[in-house]
Amino acid sequence: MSAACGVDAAANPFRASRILEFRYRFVDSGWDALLSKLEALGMRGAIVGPEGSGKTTLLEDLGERLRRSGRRVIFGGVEAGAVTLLDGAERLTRRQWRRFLREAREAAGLVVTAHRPGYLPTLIETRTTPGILDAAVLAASGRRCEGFAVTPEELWTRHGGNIRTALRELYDICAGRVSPSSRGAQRRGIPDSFAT
Amino acid sequence: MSEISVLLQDRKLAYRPGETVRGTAYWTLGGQPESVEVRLFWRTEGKGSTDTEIAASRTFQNPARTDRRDFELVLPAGPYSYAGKLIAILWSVEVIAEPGSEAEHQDIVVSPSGEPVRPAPLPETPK
Repeated sequence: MSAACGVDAAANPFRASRILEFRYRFVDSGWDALLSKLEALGMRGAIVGPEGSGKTTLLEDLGERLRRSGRRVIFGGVEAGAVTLLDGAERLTRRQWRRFLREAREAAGLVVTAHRPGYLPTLIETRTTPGILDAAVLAASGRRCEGFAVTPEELWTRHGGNIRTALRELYDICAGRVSPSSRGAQRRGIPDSFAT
Repeated sequence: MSEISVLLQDRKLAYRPGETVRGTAYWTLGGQPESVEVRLFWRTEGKGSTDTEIAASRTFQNPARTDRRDFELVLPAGPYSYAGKLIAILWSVEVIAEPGSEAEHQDIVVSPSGEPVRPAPLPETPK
């Protein structure tokens, strides 16, 4: 059966709900270093990185860690004594951001995500590697990138390190909707064991 | 260790829109529950962001740590279960206990035919 037969969305190994299960993987640090730096920054910092580098996932994981350590954590809102987590500082206008900072003075902490530095002291710069992409592909599908006739380096480079869009390309391959960017992989012949 | 299960009447797994879903929820929890609820909901699955909506729910009064309760929930007119390549719509009956959000669900199909609706094949392009 060829890859063009495709699988239904509910069986696609790269479906959104499965991708959301992936947790953040550090490239060259870890939780101890991150939490120590957060303390050193007075519990205020920014997770900075390009799209698809894991900012939101890391923010969620950080929230869970802080909760487990007994802290009160609030996503998006501000409450005295709680740590506020805000995903996407860029979505606020300058005026909204200043107001948000004023309101967050009474918070026990403030961590935001942003594509660029400058909102708060940088807590960590998120980045990915071909190895992380390959591990994500393996976790989702039980195959490494080579199983889809593409090297992790090739796929990672084609998407500028954006894990999300790279996995969406593989979604399309499994669905039998090969995107223009993966025609090379199509020519090389993609083994298909996902077709129902 | 907690155990939750949901058994639908006559083990029926395919329903028509507007039909009543009847079943029994069973549970043995690690501690006294604050609440146990049965929900009838649909969710999307696929390439993009997911969406979900609870169509009907029922909260069981005074649930015991080990208990069983019958339930009836009425399905709305839609959406129908759908099995496309870009998106799927999946229906489930879920029993969820708090605290801890321990849950178990049973997938069902909701459509006039008893099968998920599938996209019509595209007409062949003339050569």
